[in-house]
Amino acid sequence: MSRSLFLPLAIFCVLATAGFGRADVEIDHLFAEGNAAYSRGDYPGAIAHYEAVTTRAGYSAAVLYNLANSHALAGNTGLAVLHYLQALRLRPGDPDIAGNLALLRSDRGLFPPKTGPAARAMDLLTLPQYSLLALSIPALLALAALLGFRYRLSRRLRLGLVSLTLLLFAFALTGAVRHYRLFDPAVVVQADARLLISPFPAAASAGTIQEGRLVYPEKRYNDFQLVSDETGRRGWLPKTAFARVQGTFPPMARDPEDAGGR
Amino acid sequence: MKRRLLLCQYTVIAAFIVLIFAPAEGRGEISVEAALSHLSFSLAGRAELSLTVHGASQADIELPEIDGIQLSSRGQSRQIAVRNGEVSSAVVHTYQVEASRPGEYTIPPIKVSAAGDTLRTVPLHFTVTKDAPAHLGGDNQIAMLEVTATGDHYPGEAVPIEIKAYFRRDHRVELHSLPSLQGDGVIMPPLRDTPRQEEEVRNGQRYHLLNWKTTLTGVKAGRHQLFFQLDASLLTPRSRRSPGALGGGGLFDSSPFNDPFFDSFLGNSQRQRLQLTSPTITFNVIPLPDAGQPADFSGSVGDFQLQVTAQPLTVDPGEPISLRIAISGQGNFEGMEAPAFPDHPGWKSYPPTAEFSASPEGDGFSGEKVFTRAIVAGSEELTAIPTISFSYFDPRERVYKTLFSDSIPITVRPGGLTAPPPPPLPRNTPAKLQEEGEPLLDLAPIRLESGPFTAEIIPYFLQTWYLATFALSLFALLALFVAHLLRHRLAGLGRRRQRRRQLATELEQLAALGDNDHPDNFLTAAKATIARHLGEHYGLEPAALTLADLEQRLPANSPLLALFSAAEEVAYGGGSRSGGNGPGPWDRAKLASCCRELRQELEALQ
Repeated sequence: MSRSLFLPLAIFCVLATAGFGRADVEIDHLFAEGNAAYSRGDYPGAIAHYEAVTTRAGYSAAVLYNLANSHALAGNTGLAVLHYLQALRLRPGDPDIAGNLALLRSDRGLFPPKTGPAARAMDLLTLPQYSLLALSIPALLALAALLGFRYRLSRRLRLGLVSLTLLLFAFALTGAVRHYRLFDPAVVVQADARLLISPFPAAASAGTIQEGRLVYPEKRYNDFQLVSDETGRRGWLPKTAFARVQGTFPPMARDPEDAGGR
Repeated sequence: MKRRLLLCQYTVIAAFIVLIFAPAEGRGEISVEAALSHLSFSLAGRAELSLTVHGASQADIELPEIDGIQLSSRGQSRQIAVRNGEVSSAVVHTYQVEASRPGEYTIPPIKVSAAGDTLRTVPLHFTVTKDAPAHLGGDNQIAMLEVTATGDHYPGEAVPIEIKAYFRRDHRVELHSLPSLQGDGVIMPPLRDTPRQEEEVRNGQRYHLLNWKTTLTGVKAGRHQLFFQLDASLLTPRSRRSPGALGGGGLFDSSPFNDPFFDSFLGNSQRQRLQLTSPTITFNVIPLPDAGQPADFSGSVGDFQLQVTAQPLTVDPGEPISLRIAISGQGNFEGMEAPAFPDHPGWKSYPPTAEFSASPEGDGFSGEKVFTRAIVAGSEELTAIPTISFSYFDPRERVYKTLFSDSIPITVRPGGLTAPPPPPLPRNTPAKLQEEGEPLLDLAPIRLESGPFTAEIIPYFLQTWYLATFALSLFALLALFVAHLLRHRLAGLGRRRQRRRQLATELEQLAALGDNDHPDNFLTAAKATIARHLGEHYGLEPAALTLADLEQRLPANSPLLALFSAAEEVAYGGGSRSGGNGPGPWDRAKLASCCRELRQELEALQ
């Protein structure tokens, strides 16, 4: 490489590295500030820092978890549930996230509706786990077929193996479909949310819905969304009263007045 | 060489300077000429007086005083002519002639003194005419405003009219306003800034025509006298002569900026205010008839059509239905109100929104007005949206008309939004806990490392790696399945080929035994061959194959069955089939025949 090209390239590399490095340092600094605020008990301050991290760098299970903890301790049950669920999307089965979510729900009376044994059995695995199971079955079958070239299996054993894997595959698919239907819920983030009979502010109320409850959006009408909750109740909610788990972040960037005055 | 070139350049420049600035005195006789650019012009116009002095570079000019005429200098220029090597020059003095009143004028001889001589020009006669009123009568008006006539109309009836403003093509006019309606009892919607523009010839003159199509609507009964006004300015170019760059008298005297084009371009024009007024028209508004006026008539006058649609048609109780009520046609859309939704205990209706889209013709009174109203079915027993009616007055037929929409069938799903169970009360709210001084949630501690970041939260089954792995696994599975099939088929082919070879060998051996006339040996070997090939064929152990097995599987007349039976008799019956030399049941011919049948049957089995 000629000297004339080497120098600009070297300068560019140094500047680019410095730029990335500076951005990382800034994110780390914000995260550390959030942790420090959390440790001091300054939960609103911690929330602000964690939100700044997420806005700049994107989603991270750890940041969402810390953010959820901060909201939980600041009394924002809905947002805490929302961020725990988001963190679980990124790190399924994390015991801390799942444990804190269960603790929060238990503490705030957000008990899940009672379900039958079949539904409980299907709920043993989560959607990501069902997805991985469904993925592993064709892979296992392919491996078995590959081994079949090397080792001769009896016809009965082969039949049994294929039947078992197909059964497992059907189970995984059923579980995945069942969970997918409920995979993208929204969380009620407004303290005094009410399900309305019709999508108009003056419409009659169909009842209150507790902050932190999961709702499943169906159809939209202007600024209202028809939702059904975990118990099957249906009604219209203003769009400001809930936030989707997979929605655009940060939901708190809305006008605080819209989010129930929080 | 360089010095010589420089010398040449200096010489040429010096020659030019001498040519330009050197006075041409003594090179010819001194003479003077006067000329006017126009011998007749209007008060708004002006003429140009040129005094050309030949044979002198400087001259003293005494301008005469003329009552009603103002002469103002516009500078001087120099003209140089070279004829047959002889250079002659002239100085042209230019004056602008403006009149303060119309009349016949004469510029008396002008006294010019140059190089000691005194000369006089000839007198010049010219006429100054009055300015023609721009908007009043006459065949050659500069501008005029016209409006189409109207007749008898009803209150609220949108009456289409055209307002036409004409401007002569050879005059520059600047508009200051849109045509404005002058008069009471009639309203007109705001005019568009962009009227239709055309060209029209009237009385032999080419006019630029601005055409506004609009409507007039009477608001109260009576005969209303109306006219329109429009403010404009007539731009008259003010001629100008800019002095040459070198002060005149040289080559550069003919500045390009003396072109009249730049007069208007540089804004060097005089404005004369014009107020165009249209002829007065009478707009007679007659009252609407009281007889036959429908109860839901809300003042719409014109000719309309009604179309009502709804979406969605299958709803839950409480779910809104968008009712689209479209009224199209011609008439007074401006004040049109939405048709009322019928009062029905099962329905709840909300205030509508309205949107008007004018027709492409742009006449302002035809188009479509769409009212969108949200209605909510309160009961699952409702099966149709009630009929919507719209009443208007048709001014052509002079009657009231009422349009009705069709009833729109809908389905309200049972169930829907029902009264809720009482919500569970939260046990411990943070505020309550804080009030009670109890510790807050005993949460697991926060993370100290931020970990990896991702741009969005996507479930596994939508991530690329997952889909790719899944597709790859399925593909591998399929490929291995095909490979297994091929392998199995190839192995079967090999086995079949081997069996065929083996059968051929065994049949040769059987044929040899038959030829040697050894029926016992032949039958024993034939039985073994049958047992081997049928055993493989039926998936049974050849040694364990019995006559009963074959009887179950083969037809009763099968030669294989007879052969196998005979072989068993030899094996277990103790009898011998050796026939000796003479003809017998198992003689050589019989054995050959059996051998052929055996071949046919077993080969068919293959």
